[in-house]
Amino acid sequence: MFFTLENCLILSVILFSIGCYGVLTKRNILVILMSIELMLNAVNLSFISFNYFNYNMMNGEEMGHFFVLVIIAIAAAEAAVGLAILVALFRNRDSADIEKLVEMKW
Amino acid sequence: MILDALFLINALLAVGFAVAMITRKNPIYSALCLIATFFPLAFIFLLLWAPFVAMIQIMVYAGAIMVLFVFVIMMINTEKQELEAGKPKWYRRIAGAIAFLFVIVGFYSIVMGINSIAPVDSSIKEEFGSTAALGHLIFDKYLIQFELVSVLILVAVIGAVFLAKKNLD
Repeated sequence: MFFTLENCLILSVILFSIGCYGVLTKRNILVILMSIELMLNAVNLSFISFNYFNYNMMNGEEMGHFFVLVIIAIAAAEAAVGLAILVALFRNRDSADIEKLVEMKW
Repeated sequence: MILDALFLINALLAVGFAVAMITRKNPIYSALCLIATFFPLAFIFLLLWAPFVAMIQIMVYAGAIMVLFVFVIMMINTEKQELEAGKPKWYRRIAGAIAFLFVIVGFYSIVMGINSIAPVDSSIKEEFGSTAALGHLIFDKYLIQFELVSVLILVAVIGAVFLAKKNLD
């Protein structure tokens, strides 16, 4: 048996960590936003797998699926606002490099 | 057996494309690798009896959100030589340590804390995860939450249009 809750959650943890590494190391704001999308997807996977493997405990209700739909909607909103901020930033600075935004550096 | 094999193949594909996304220098390749990551994940959703969510994943994520990303990449035309000149090495090492810590803590709590029994597939209701069942759930039980999400989307749309306007006075 390989298709178990543990393995689904381990896949989710690995994808989340890859996204976390990308957020921490990348300099391009676009790639940072993409890494955030990857992290959200890892969370979606864990919701879906909990819902499936605890089917009997949930009385067959698709609560996790509803959570995933809400997360996808919020991810779309987040991507739209983040990219709009990036476009405005690029218009003022001519750069998508996060290392150049140092006004608030102490 | 076939379920195990399908899960393993798709998990490896997803992790491989995710790693590829992190390591590409050019953001357009990163976007393409991220799109390629979503398809194996949607397939795993299908294995987990979530057909509606799998289709939404492909249509909304791989369709809409990533098209938005690709458009912005084409529009702002970043010069890739100035990017990825690299952060200092210690920074990369700390980030790797944090990500690795996530994996360790995750593995530990998963292996220690989980005892759930997967349902036998024949015991699952046939309409579990279908469009009809999710529609009943959304429009009967979670109607207020659903409407709140639509308000949030409206706010995000107005905010995005305002932020991306030409002269922001």
